[in-house]
Amino acid sequence: MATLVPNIILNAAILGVIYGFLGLSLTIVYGGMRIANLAHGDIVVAGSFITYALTAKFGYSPIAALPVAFTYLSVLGYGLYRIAGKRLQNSREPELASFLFFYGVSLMISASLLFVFDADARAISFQFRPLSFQFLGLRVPHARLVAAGVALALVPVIFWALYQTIYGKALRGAIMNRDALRIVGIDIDRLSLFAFSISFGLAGMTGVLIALVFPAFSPFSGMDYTILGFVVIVLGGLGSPLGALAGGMVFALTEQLTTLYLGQSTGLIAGFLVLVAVIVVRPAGLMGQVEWRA
Amino acid sequence: MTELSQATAQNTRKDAYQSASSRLTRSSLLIWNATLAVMFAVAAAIPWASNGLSFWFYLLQWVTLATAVNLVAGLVGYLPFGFVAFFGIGSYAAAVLTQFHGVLAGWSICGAAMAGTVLALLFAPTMRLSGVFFSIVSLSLSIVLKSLVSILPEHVAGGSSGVTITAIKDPSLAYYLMVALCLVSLSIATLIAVTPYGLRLKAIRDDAGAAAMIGIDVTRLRLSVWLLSATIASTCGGIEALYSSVIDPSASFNMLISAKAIIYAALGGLGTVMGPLLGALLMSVVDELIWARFPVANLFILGALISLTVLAMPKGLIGSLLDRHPRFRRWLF
Amino acid sequence: MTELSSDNVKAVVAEFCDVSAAYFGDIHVLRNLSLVFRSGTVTGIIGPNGAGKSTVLKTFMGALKPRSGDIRLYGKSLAGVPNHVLALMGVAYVPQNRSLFLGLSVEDNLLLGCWPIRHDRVRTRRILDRTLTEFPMLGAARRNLAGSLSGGQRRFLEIARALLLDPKIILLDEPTAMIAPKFAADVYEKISALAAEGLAVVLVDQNIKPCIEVSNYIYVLELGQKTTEGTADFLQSDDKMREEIGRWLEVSGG
Repeated sequence: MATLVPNIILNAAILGVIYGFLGLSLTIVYGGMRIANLAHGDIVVAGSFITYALTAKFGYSPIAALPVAFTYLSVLGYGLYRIAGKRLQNSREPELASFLFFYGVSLMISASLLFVFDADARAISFQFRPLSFQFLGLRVPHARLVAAGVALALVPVIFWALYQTIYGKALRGAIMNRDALRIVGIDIDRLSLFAFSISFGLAGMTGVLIALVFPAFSPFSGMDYTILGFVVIVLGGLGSPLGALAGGMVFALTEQLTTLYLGQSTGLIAGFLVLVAVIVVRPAGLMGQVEWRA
Repeated sequence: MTELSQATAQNTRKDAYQSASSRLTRSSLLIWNATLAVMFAVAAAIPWASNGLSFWFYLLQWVTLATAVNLVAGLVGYLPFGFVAFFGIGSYAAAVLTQFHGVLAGWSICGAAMAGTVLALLFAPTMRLSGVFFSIVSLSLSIVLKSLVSILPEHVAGGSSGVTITAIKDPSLAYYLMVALCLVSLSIATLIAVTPYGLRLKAIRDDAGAAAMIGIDVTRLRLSVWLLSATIASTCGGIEALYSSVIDPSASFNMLISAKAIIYAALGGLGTVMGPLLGALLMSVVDELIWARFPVANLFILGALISLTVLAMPKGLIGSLLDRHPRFRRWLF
Repeated sequence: MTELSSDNVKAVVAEFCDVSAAYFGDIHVLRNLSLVFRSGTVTGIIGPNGAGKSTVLKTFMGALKPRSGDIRLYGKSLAGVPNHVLALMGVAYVPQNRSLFLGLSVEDNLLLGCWPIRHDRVRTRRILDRTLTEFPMLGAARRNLAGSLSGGQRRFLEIARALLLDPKIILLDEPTAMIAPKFAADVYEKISALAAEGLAVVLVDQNIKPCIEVSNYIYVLELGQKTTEGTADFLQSDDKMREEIGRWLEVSGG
């Protein structure tokens, strides 16, 4: 048990960042555009399958999948926004319309993955050498360490982009007050297109991390990740990128610790109960500020 | 207020359903009731005419669920992603009562209905939340419930492998119960549409603050619809359990059930009476055809169909039709 | 700010030519409206509730498309010009409802106001520094979140942001609504100062008295139509008008 706890915390940290990414990419689109991307998890899974294809078929390192997944999926996001984005945003109930539209997209992506890769669960076959590292009495799989490294490198870059560049500020501004964008001369349509592409690309990279950390994934795991993504942003506070990361961490830590002490099947229950508790006590989420949104 | 701003305010609330309830004529109601009567006469005759009872049973089930979810989604404006919780608890209540306690089918369905009502009361505080917060918390609760049911001891709720009902041999009883429930739920929806009760609900959905100002008890009215909708869903779940005779946590609490009910209702037209019926009928048939015709690409085609329909008709079949041709308001609602 | 010579001080900056606009169907909120906005002039738009005063500004900003007629900026029609381009063409707008990014800092709000020139970092920096010294209250709070400011401070931040790119015309919708009287006085003072610098100011205001005091020219709207127009002095001397204004004040309860 004594060595298990640090191990669990390390795992929770990696999972937390992954959950955080799930929420982060979702919140950029949902917060700013009121588009509930129900296909988000399927984009993530597509990222995992791209990793699988690159490692199993071409023998590349999973690291190489990061830019590939980002590029392919941001192009997909670009295309989808071009087709549907404007219509969905202009509809009277954008949340409902986008929910339905992306449910259809989710089915299409699952079906395509099913067609190319079959229904079986897959795992990446790439092996890092050595398989695991031993330090401080912990045994950490190499793949997990790589995932942690990638996440650690990505977090500062993403947050720098969101909090320090004018584009990131415009994106966060869109979450706070969409109408004000027009007044300061920002082309909402182009900004949305940009946000959509980035969000999809980021979801794809999250899929690569998931392929490294989780033992297996299948074309139908998408909905689970979509749910996790929404849970994380509601937990952390809608529209707050920092909140998404915090929400991911809290959820992962709760899940892992409960699993350790109370058994496998209780982890998820505890995670969701924490969500419900947080929402009841603080309806805006951990870092949300209801009054700061228009 | 000036004439102009009054006119504008009225216009912003232009809504197919609202104008429909005031403009419905006696004759259009008569036609609608006659249509329902014919449909249910046909449904009741199915067991003699067809041996593919299953298709018809599930057709009715989806009509019922779409109508029930529409009460909450269309009239109150919530999207309950965890709607399946009520269906699931009903399934379990009926199955456990019948199989483990030897309760007669009819009584176990009553048990299922009560289980749904109780659960809805327990979840009622979540109605303080709005928008995506409500949806996600609702979804979370359904997932928690599913996990709780599967970790209950096997002699209580069958554990993760579920319950198999051996006491009931003939599925036609469950089929007739479903026919009855479907008729009841459609009648409730129609009644709501033509009574002041429905009009008050509409007012709440359009502007809860304004509704409260003119003396409508917003909380109580919302709660009543919530309970109604949940009870229909749990009864539906109970009947399904008796019909299929095999239930397990992942099937009874499958999120697809919530999603399908909402999608069918929305494709037909949320907030209308005919929309969920039409949506569920069409989509069940389309679903069936696609699976038979395109064994490989079925899922893809279904997805494409849903996405394209939303883009072309964002307010559903009925809603968009009424937007384009307001003169149908007398007949479609 | 460039000094304007006296002969072009009253140049027409923008005009509404016979504009009609509607939200849905046939319910017109603006009917055959012709208005002229001149540089160096505060043009007040007053009228009872629901007269379409704010709608004039919204239509100018493209939120509502004119059904007929034309809106012109420097003689060129604005038909087909995308909303976001107006900022670049010298039109600044301070709407009635809040238009700040409350979760961003004061400085970042101003930075986003410089979006059209974002590629010119040097100029952006210069403009930001100039504005922060010009509005010392904002300069002192530059790192604070806009959400932590008081109502009056927020209003000044909105006005400061609207002025960043040297607009030629500024549209103000109820700039003194819901802010402390002390700030309201400052706002009217600022409005006069802007006009003195040569800007065309369009002021929609529910507070009729100060509006008439600060305005050089007034349009009176009722039910989306222009009922009276003239200089402020003219309106104040007109008995029928004063009676009319008294009636609105009763209706709007203030």
